[in-house]
Amino acid sequence: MRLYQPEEPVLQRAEGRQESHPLLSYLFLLISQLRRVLDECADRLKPVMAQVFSLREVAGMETEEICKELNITPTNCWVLLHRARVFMRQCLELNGFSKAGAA
Amino acid sequence: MKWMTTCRETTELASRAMDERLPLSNRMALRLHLAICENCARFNRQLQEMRRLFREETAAPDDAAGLAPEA
Repeated sequence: MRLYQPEEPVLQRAEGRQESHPLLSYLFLLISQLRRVLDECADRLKPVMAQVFSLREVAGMETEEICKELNITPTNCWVLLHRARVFMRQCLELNGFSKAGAA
Repeated sequence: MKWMTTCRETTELASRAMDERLPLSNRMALRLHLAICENCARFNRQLQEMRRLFREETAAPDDAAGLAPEA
């Protein structure tokens, strides 16, 4: 089961409603937990790693641009990105989101 | 050309493949390893899933603002 499907129209429609199905309430709880865990994990990254990670994974900037912007070499940039991904993946897994991507 | 990679090398290639188009030899090595190694295949899926999560996470408020009647 996927924990997080914000594109699901049912969930979007239900968000504005006062009354909601118990299952929907449960899903919203999971989503808010996921947001909290994402934030907490990101807070534990080293500042430069968090910067590179969020520019690439969240903002979707090209790595070349990011290197120029932060004035770091492409190799260094790539190593930082890889380490940040490995850390974030592990942090999410250790905080209960281990089923994502499972076959 | 190195066509069998270790798991460590494979995770690095998987990560790098998300940022740039790898040379053919690297792509072949990556595919080959992912086809036979469930752990690396899962790692790769989780990286993709994480990117999807983060990009949707930030896209969501914009959509919501557009839909809100009081906005």
